[in-house]
Amino acid sequence: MRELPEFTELRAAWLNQPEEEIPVDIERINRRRTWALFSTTRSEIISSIGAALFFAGIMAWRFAPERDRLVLFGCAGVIVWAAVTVFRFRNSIRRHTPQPDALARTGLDHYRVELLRRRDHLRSAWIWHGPLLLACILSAATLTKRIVPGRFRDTLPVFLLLAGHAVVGIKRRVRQAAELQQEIDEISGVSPMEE
Amino acid sequence: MTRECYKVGAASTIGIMGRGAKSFGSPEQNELYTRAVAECGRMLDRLTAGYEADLDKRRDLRQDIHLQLWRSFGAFDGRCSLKTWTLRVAHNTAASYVVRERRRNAKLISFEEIERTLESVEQPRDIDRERALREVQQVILKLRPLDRQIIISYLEGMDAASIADITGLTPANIAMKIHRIKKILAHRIREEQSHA
Repeated sequence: MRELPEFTELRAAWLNQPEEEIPVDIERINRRRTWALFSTTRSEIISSIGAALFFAGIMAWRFAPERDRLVLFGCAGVIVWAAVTVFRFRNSIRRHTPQPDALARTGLDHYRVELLRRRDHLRSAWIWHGPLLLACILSAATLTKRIVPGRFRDTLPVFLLLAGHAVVGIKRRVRQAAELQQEIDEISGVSPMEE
Repeated sequence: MTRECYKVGAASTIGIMGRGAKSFGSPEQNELYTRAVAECGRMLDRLTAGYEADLDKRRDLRQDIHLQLWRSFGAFDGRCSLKTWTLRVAHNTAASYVVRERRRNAKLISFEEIERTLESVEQPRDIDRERALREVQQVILKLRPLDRQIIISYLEGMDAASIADITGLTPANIAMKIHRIKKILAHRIREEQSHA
């Protein structure tokens, strides 16, 4: 196929991009802090569970001595849910190294697997965001029960903010999961090359 | 295609070969990696530029691609050529990066979506290479990973069969997409030149 001059020029521009001056330094990978960029799934789960346990811990510290059933059972619920979440997503939380040849699949196969993995993670957002939401509800309910003038009103914005954050987070992830599903459907419609 | 000379920094040689020779990595693995980098090193740099615009992040991605490439050669079984293997690993590492970064990125689009938004622009007289390259890079960074693989491979001068080998799509599908790429790129260049 004959190329138009503009494509020849464009290809020449692409091929003659300035060379990267910094040499490849594989050891730097082990030192760099940006490893978090490569563990979105894990960091999302850990941060959500961490926030929930922190919240439950504060509640237990402040109100457990009063032997309030709501606080005791509520905190226990948050801890159990968090433990179940950690167990359920243990494979996502653990830093794992892929099989050496896992990346040598065709682009289509690899991309589909990555999209499916991310979609499943997003679809289960309600499970790993649940403890945080429960901790927010528990805190609000505990403070509402107590007749301490001003206490609930003072802390209400914080609870609303946290609860709102959790709800918006779940909704955003559900929407992203739907977008990923649409993309999965699109690439599934493309006939793969016969090996 | 000409064989490109590519300098791997001393640090990487020490990191992979020196220390690796004692603790991990076979001589064959190291040799395959060295060959792959000598053959496709510059291509990998250009490929990385198509997946990340930010320079620091791009360097990290580049390092990661090299690490995954070196690791992958521990399982190289000759199911495809060294070049195809190298490019598959590089594109797939970058595609995984795009999926992970997706929550921070704007929505990615396909060739078809770009094509629908094109309006007619007059043919330019001259091509300004630098501006055209910038324009192309902007187009690439908006694309979904599979489409990026195709456009980058096309710009690298690969034919439909080779691109099909890397992506797993059929050559017919690739040819159709290349047709779209040409249309999009021609339009973008014309648009850019008409604004200049």
